[in-house]
Amino acid sequence: MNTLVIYDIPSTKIRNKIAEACMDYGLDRIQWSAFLGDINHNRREELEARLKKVLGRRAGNIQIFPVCEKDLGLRVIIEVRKEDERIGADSKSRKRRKCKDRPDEKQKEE
Amino acid sequence: MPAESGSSSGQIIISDFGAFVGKKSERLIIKQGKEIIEQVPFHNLQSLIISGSGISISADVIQECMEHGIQIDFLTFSGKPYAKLTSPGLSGTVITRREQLLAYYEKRGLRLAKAFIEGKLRNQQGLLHYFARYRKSENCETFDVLSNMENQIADMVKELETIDGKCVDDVREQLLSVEGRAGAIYWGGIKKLLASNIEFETREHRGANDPFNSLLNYGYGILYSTVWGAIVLAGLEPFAGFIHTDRPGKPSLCLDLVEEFRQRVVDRTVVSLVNRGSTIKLQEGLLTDQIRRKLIENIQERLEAKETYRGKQHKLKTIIQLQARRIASYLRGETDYKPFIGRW
Repeated sequence: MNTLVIYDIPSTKIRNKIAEACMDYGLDRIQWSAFLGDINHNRREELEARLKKVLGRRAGNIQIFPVCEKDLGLRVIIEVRKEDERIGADSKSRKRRKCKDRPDEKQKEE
Repeated sequence: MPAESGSSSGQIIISDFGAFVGKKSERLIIKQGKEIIEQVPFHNLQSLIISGSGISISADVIQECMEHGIQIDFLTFSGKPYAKLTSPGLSGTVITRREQLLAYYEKRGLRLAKAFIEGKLRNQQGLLHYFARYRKSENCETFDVLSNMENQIADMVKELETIDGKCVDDVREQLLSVEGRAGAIYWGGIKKLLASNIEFETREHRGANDPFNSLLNYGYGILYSTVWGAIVLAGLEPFAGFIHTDRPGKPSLCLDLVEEFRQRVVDRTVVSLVNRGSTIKLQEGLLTDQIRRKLIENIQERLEAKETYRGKQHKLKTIIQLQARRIASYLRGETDYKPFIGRW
């Protein structure tokens, strides 16, 4: 199931930990505080538990959305980007860009 | 250029000089210098293949891989596996191994050896049939030659059935003779199929220096590791084979089981690759990076492709695993063993 995770967390340390957890579950970063990827039901619940634990009783808001294939296909991306403002900067940029161009297709390296 | 291909299938191949494989949190990280090229959660990973020199791997990765049941294979540039890391806890049940060693001296061993060779011959026949079909309308002459070869191999399958003895040792010569003669016809057929697309004289096993044999050998290397993994996971002893004789450092059982998968997984892929018009050249006696990558990609696609196996659709790599388990249960006396014969 496609899953969207977005969050708003003031503490940088915790924010980074949340991002790490999302990456551990194979989600792709689509914005600084937004991750998207295909994970199954069980893994999503695992991730939910882990995010809950990381945040603990600190301030923050995390939202996890299941998104169906059909709705994801209707996704629109409006983007203007300058060379030095890419998400994830340096190395990851190439992959990210690709992901944005073709949101539905699985990323495949050439 | 990314260090691997086909990461969606859970198999990662790292072949870039200077790559570093490390672990961060619960992800495998592949770095080139300071730059992160790729990161994959261990959860999505099924096997890791390191092919090439100048690659470093951290102990943390090894530990994490073993805990997740991911085997790490090391291949040389030409595709020959030279090391494999598996968890020491994974030696399966002792009873399977005991039976495997005993079976060698009994009819059971012979039965297995015959099954492997039968699988090989019938798949060779199938592959010729498969490619001949497309030539039926446009090139009658080739079609006839190939059909004739198919029939010859079919005769050898019959000949194989008549071979009988007390154990493999008694009839090994005869088995190898059938296998060898079928092989000669088969490779003759392949040569015909390739026409003038690539230079190919005869099949050479080791140290081949023509492009076609190099492609095959590299492909078989990947297949060996897959089969080896399946054998270890099934709790069998990779070094105790039936057709292939015991020799230190020779994974005979892997070589045995590989026979029935060669055509389906590698030969077909390589022949199509060549006939689809990829130019294949060697650089200093080795395949170029580009073509190697292409081959790896195609073989992985093949391993992911679904085939009918005992009435159900399974991925080819799953079938390899199932066949290995089938050997184990046959040795324990639970089921019969039948080779995997694809529907061509």
